[in-house]
Amino acid sequence: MAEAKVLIVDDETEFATVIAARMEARGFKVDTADSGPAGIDKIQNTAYDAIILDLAMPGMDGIETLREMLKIDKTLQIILLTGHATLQKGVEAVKLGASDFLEKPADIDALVGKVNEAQKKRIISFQENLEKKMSDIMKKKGW
Amino acid sequence: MISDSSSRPEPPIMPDGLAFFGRISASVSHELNNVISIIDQTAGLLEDLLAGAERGRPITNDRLESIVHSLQKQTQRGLTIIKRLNTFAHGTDSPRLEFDINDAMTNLGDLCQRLAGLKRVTLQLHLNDSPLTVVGSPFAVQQAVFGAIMQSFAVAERDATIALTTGSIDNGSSIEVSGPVVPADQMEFDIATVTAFIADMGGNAGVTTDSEQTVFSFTFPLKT
Repeated sequence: MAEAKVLIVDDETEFATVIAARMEARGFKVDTADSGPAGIDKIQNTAYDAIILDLAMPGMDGIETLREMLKIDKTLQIILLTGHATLQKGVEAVKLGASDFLEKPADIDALVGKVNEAQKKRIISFQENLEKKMSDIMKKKGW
Repeated sequence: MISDSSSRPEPPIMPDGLAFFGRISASVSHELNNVISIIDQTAGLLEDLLAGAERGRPITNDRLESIVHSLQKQTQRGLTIIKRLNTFAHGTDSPRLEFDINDAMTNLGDLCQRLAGLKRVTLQLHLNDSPLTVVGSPFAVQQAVFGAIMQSFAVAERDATIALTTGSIDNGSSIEVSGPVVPADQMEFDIATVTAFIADMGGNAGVTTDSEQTVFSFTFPLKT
């Protein structure tokens, strides 16, 4: 599979930086953003295979950021990072369209596993969308 | 300096006192979890680099220095957070302690900073120039003022500023929480309950609202 492109959105910039370094050492291309709005800006210009999104951020929190991102691209694969007390919110986020969630502090191998799964899901989702579009075009043309 | 001058075992606690303690504890534990997460991942990064060095990719001194600096910074951050929680928790040691209102509000202000950040508002602390020593329960005072801070947060829009101010008045100390106007139908701060709660230490509470702001005020007699 091609090298996955990942975006980490977390207001704890040191955490985002060190996770980015560890993921880059494992062959991923990684960008970081320190807030929900900054993350939304990034996805407007770059196609990411997976987004790792912190739940508890000042201002626009993870849930609100998730909603806004999915409005822009509903095929986005978003993995939420939650603190222990917000595990219930992680479940809620999956119901809202997040692809998965992990509890902080996150095991790097578990995170990498989820990013790899997210990349596969995104490819499948992209292919399904493309097939649907092709099918719609053919129907319109009466083929 | 705090000294114990009473034999009563328990500090006074308002009906939602446990919720107050819980909310502060949850916020602090969330901050500590962030600190531990950074330390954990940084240690993992060091492991990755060591593994890389065994495969012929040397670690530079600059890289090591940067990792050490990060670990030291986060450790210090963790210790500061723990100290704040410890100070807060010891406010329940006795219902009658001698304490400085400035210290109690500094502690409360520090503990509320994360909550302020989540709301994207600024909580500014303005302290009286000299100590304001009172006798009573620091926990009770903090609980009363916390209610006012949370009420202000509830109506504040992004980037609003809420001021927590301590001052000296005739033979007494004052604490004010000033922030955006709280409309009457959104006022959940129960002034009667709070006033009754702090009356035991000679305290009084009030709320005033004009066109620009709502001010919650608390007064306590100074130790004689």
